[in-house]
Amino acid sequence: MATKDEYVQPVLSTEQVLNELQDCSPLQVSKQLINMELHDRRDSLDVMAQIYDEFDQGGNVTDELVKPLLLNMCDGLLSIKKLGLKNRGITATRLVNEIDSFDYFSATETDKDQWLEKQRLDADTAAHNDDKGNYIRDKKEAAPGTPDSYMEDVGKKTTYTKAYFASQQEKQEKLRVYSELEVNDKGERKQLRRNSREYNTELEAKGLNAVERTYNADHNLPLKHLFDEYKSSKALSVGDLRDAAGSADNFDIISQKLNKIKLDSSWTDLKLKRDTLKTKPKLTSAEKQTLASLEAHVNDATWNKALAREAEARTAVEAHLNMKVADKLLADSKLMKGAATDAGKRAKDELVDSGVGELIILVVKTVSFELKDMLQNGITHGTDCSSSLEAFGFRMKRALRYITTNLLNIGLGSFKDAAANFVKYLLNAIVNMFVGILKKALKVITEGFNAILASIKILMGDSSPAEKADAITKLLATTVVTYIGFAFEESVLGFINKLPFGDVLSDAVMVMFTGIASTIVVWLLDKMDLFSVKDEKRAARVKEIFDMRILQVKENTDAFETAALQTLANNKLQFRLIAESMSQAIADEKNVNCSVYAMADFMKIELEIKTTDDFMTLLGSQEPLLVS
Amino acid sequence: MFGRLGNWASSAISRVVDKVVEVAKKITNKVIEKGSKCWNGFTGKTTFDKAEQLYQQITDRYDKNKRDYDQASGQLIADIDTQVSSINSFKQDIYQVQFKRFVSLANRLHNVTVKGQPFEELFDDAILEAKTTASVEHRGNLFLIDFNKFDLVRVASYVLTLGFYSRKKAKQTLLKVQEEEVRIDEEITKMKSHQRQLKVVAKSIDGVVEYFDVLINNYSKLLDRFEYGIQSQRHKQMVQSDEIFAHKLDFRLIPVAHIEEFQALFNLSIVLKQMANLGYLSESGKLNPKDSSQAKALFEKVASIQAIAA
Repeated sequence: MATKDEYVQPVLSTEQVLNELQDCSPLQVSKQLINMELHDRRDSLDVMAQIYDEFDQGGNVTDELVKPLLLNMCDGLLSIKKLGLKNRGITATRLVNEIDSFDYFSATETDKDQWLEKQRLDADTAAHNDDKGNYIRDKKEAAPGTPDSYMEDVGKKTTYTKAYFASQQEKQEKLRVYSELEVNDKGERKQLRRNSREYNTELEAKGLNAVERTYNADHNLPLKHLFDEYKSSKALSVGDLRDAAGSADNFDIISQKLNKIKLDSSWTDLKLKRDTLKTKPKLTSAEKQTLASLEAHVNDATWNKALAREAEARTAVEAHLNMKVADKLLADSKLMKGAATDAGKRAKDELVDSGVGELIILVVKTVSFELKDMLQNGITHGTDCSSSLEAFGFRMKRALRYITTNLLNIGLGSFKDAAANFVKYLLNAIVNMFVGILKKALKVITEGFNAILASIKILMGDSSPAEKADAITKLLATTVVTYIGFAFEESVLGFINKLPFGDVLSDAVMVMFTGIASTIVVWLLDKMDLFSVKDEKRAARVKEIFDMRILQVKENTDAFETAALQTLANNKLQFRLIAESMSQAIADEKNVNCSVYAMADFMKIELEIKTTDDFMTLLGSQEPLLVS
Repeated sequence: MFGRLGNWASSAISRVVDKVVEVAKKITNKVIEKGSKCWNGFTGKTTFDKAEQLYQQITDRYDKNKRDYDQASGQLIADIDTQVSSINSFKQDIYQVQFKRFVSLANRLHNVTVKGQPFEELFDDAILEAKTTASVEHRGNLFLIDFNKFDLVRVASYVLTLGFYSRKKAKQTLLKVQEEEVRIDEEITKMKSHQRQLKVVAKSIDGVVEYFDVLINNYSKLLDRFEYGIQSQRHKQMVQSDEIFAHKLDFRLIPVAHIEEFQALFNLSIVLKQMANLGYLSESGKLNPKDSSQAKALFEKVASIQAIAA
């Protein structure tokens, strides 16, 4: 499509016009001038229609969709772990594209595979999970080697309880307090008391349940829950978690009954449990009992209060922990050093892997280009060699030269990638030290790291704003599709693993799944062409072609005019000179023949009578003279 | 007194009311202005407006250039037409007047015949007219969306697609109009080019008219000279012979100067006949074929004559 040959106007030079005009008689110059074509006389609407055709031909479904989809399937098969190709970044799609678009004039570039990058990032994230051992609640159960690895800070609990029971008016503690969460249907808060033998007996005498009326200081986010959720951060010790768990925001004074129902779950988990039980058609007797006691002891008002308190507690705990991480990152240089070393090691390992992969691709594409060219065009094609053997040698040398020169490119590209990876993994390590919502927010940076880098590259490029917007939209779409693929990984793989050979196929299927999805998404985006990139390109082409044609017409007209005017002036001058001498001769009664011959010569008319002697002979022959 | 007070009060009130209304109007206008600017950007109407403006501009430009071209080329073609008819009358003159005279004069010396007819060139405008240029495309073919037609369904479609649909259509429209602009530029360039070509053709036809004019004039003067010579020779030969009316003049007895005149007239007749039998704009009527090597030699000869003359 890139050629403009079909649209070029014929070129007319001044010399050409001059030659043509000088070759003909001055009498015929007008005719010649009329017939000279200053442009191809092609209808401009035709030209426009042809350019439009060029752009409409693109609707080849095989090239646009079928081929990429088949390649996605192959990508899947190649990604089976046992083949070991995946780690090297070698995919069928990349290989075929590289081979198809190979030529000796462009330099090799390294490329990234979204799926592989995501898998590696996840592996990196998993490696950042800290191992804090088993959950230990009480101090006395802690192993002698790690005396600090228990979660319950009894002192803090006591302090909180004391503060809650403390009375402002009297020195003595309050006897009764209100539950922080439990509310009856009338909106009244439940009254609770400290546990004592006298009180128990008193209640028993009245036939009332002591468990419902005795207070408990409950960790809103239970210790076990907290430990499990936040233990993965390498920057936090069990002691740090214990501190956070013991903060005042995480304590609620509730009834012993409620605490027993809740146990080690958070309020959110508990609500989830209730909802599932409620919708479940058949319940076991134990489940029935759980549901009944939940319904009996936690009404809607209590749920609302509890969940609101949980959100507060979570915010407070996470803020506490994240502050701690930030402090440690700034204060503890060892932590940073460890993260950097890890990131460096990982980047280096990948550099080796992807370097080998890039090398394989470089060799394969160069060699297959030569093979393809030999089969398609014959062995001597484009080599300037006469014998096949010589041509083969030339081809091999050429391939080798390309490979050696591009080794540097690959090396450079891989190093650049490795540097970017190092930054990414270091960021990932730091992000993974944080907890909760903050971590999730920061995760966007590392997860989207490649996309961000690629976007910056696109933005810095010199394409039009619409092209940039289009490229970034497609990039984001493929990134999102890959991540959605990972989100569904478990459900899809769960199904695949049940199939025969499921374990072997599972890698393949996920790669195919996301590959196909992103191919289709990109194809759809291409079809929708949200930013009219296609139209923009066509308009640019139209402008380019018409500008070229217009310029040529102008140049032709200039050349034509110059040459024509020059010829006309020349002819006029010659004619006048001859005519002048002719009329002079007539007036002076001199021989006119000389000017008549000159005139005939000037007009390129042949006269048979060349001399007076000829004429005399003719007169003597008695033949009539014929003017013809 | 109360009446005057009432008047003052009512005028003061109406002044205040006017002021309030004015301010309110200003504010609403401002809000509408800002809001519509936002809306236009969102739906792509801004782009559409640009397209409309450009369309108007290229239509005007095309129309103006076409008008100028039609006028100028019409004038040029009319001029050429006039010149062609004067060439035709020159051709008639050559046969009807000049050749008749030459034949009657020459026949006293020798039998001379002129064969053929002058070629009357029928002027056909079509040779000179450019192929009709394609004017600016109809608006309907370029505009994929029309913001000037307003209805609820359209507005709903703009909003539901987040403006993507209408923005895209507006942009496509602008691009199409921009494409049309360069196409129209080509048409205008072709018109201008053709106009220049016509000008040159007209100039060259002027030259041909001059050839006829000057040569016929010289031919006629030469005929005068020849006639005088023949006349005096008749007197001379009449003195010597009584049978002068029965016979032609004996060319061997007349001075060579007159024979040279006869030769010049004969050759010039051939030139004029060739000129009279030629079409100057149409293909018909050709010069007697000559091979190009001869033509080249002649050209060099002419050049040398020119050099001598200079």
